[in-house]
Amino acid sequence: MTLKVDISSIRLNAWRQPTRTLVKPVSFELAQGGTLGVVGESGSGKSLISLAMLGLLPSRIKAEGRVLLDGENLLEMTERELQRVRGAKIGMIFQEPMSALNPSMRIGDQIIEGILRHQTMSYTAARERALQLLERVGIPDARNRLDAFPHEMSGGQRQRVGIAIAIAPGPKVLIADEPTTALDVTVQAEVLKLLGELVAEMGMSLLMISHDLGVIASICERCLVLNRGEFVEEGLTPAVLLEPAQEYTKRLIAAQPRLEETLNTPAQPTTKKNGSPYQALLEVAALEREYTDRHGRVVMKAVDGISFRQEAGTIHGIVGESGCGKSTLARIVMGLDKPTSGDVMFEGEDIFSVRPRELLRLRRQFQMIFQDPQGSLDPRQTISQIVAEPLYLDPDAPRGRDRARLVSETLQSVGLRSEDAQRYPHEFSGGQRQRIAIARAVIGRPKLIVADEPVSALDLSVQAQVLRLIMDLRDRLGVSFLFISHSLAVIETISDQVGVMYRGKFVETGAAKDVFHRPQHEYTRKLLAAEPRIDQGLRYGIRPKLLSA
Amino acid sequence: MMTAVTMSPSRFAKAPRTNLIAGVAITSLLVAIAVVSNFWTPASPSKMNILSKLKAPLASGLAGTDAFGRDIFSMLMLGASNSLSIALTAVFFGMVAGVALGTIAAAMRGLVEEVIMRIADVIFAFPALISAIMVAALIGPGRLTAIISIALFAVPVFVRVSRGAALRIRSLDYCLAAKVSGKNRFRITTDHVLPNIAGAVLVQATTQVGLAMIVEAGLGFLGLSVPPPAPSWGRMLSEAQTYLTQAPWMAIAPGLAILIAVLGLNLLGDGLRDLFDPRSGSDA
Repeated sequence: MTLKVDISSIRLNAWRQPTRTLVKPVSFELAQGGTLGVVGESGSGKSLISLAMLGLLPSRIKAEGRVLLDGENLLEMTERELQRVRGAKIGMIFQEPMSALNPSMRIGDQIIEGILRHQTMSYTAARERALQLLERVGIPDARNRLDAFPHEMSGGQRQRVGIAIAIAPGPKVLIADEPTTALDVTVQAEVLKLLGELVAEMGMSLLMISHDLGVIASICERCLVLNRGEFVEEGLTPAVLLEPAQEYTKRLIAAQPRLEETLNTPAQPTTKKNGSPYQALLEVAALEREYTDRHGRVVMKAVDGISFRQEAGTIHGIVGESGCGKSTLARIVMGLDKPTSGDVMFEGEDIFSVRPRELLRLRRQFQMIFQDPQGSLDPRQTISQIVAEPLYLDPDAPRGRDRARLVSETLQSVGLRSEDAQRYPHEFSGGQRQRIAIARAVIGRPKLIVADEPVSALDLSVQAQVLRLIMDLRDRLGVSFLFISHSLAVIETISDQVGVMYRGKFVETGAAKDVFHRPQHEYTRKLLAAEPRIDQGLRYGIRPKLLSA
Repeated sequence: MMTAVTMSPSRFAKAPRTNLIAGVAITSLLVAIAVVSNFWTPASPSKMNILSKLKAPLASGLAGTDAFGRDIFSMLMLGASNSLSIALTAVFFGMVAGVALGTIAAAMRGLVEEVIMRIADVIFAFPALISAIMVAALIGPGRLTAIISIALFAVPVFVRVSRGAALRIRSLDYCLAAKVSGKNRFRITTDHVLPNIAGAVLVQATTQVGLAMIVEAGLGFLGLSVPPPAPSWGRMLSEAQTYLTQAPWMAIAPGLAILIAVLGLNLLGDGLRDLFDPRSGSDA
């Protein structure tokens, strides 16, 4: 089997608009058993290429060129011919396993559907085959899980089912579009390991699309870099990632949050000790948050005895996988949720025992930044209205022309222009929107900003800029950040102090450098080992082969 | 060898907004006729002329005459005015009350929401005709009866639409950001929820005006809407029953008028939905 892709363009024909070229000429080859990574930021065209290969582009987008699978051009095939190729010869794994699976169909039937479509065998035989596949992809108790629905499984298990469906008809090529992006790092490592094993076992070729250079480095022999629809470079993965030839690749790699050497210089705590007893900016003590069912039984302890203190002018990082309770902790610190027990002291005042009016006054001292830059800005308000919102509480806030000046200064301080004040959110990119959200958070000069996954939805290069902006605001304005993220690299880059959270508890706390360089707890070590890194080379059973033309 | 290939069966290119254009055209014609009818009609819609009774269309006037020799086209024009003004007023009050209750339900949650929604369910279970008969029993038939019962019928629809939309908006981070900034539920509703649900509510209102015109015709048919001699599409239909074989145009004319008016409003509603909802009609 060989796959030769030689796409000359992918174009969008929109109603009454000039045709736009989304992807410029790009060509690559994938040999039997080879693994190729396609890397790029959003808008680079990496997903379009994979859709074009399967004839799945939306009706107004056209691909020109050749996609030769064993000498047959997929781009010239009719819909009927393509149906025989899809699944049978080229399988696909999607990013979001929840939406890629049919929620109202048992997973066994979803696997069987694909088998029966491409092979003639009895239902019983197909079911037996589905069972073997489920066992192969590592679903425990596979015989019973065959009749489970997607919602009864965890995210990692759903992705394993997605893989089972993709490999069921025995394809020669597997296209995986960001297959682990929605998963936690430890689960990601397991899924990548499974993919690696399957490629070796079945002699499949793997085309992996990802924005994560670490993932590509760990599983792809070769990689291809795309930028805004343009081919940048292609080569053996270690060569491309460790000694990039092109400027764009160098920038992309420099934007990676580093695990080894952080760019961050630790902040000097600015908490004043003017005579009064020493006071931290934020002190959280023995915090617990339980969720109970209707009968008052404790169903889950989202936060289970968390204590920490944060000095003024520092960035306190909290890292953990999904479901560890880090967002609940953020909500409690913001006073948006009440703890079952424990205290949150802000400059020595307990935010849950003060009167509501006092809490409003305290509220002015803290602000929040959210993960999704789409949902955090009201689409019907101008940037100036959005940014000025926190001033609503402040009776001394400037009005009229002074307020406009304050808004424009704040916009400039986060790297936007003052003219942007009159525009609407949809006119901005994801990174710019996150800057607007940051401007809103800092305009009232709060002392603490709680940032819940503020860079997770952003591209690498934009992410690096936003992280730099946050560090800069800490140094310039003395704002403290409680920074929550699932990404170890991001947390290490930005934090002065860290807490590693697991199942509602801190398993390890301390200065960022110590925690990441000399991890004491086993869970921290496991997280660090699972984090894909570009300097690690191939893992997961992928053995480099020489590409034979 | 390069080949241009359409990757999937090419469907329509993004259609120009046919629905919207047709809806706006029909609805503005309707409104124009309704407005003009208050100043001018081809003949007096209430003047009887027994000598030229049951004349076929074009034999006398555009749409013929009825059993009393009144000009049907003139009656239709003034009927449009009556029907439309009742429908618009009723839907306006129904919308204000419904959106207020719906957004309050979404803002308060808990018991308040439960009470509002269950009351809305109860009202929803009453057909407009039944409530019109009850209102008529209290204050007698007439314009006010029609407005009250149609408004009552519209309230639960708007409660549901606005509560659903408001809940979705409230779950977004910008409402949380507003809360963090110290805004209370009321301010969040006025600043963030109402502007963002306005589109959905307007679409519903347009469709609701169409529905209201049908209900108004039904009330007129039963004699519960505007009293004679003011013309009403519903009563014209009911009067036409007796002459269905002799003068079918007496029924066809108001029937067509109702059909076209409601079609226009529904097209307008669909067109507005396409306009407000960026997801439909574009796949790039």
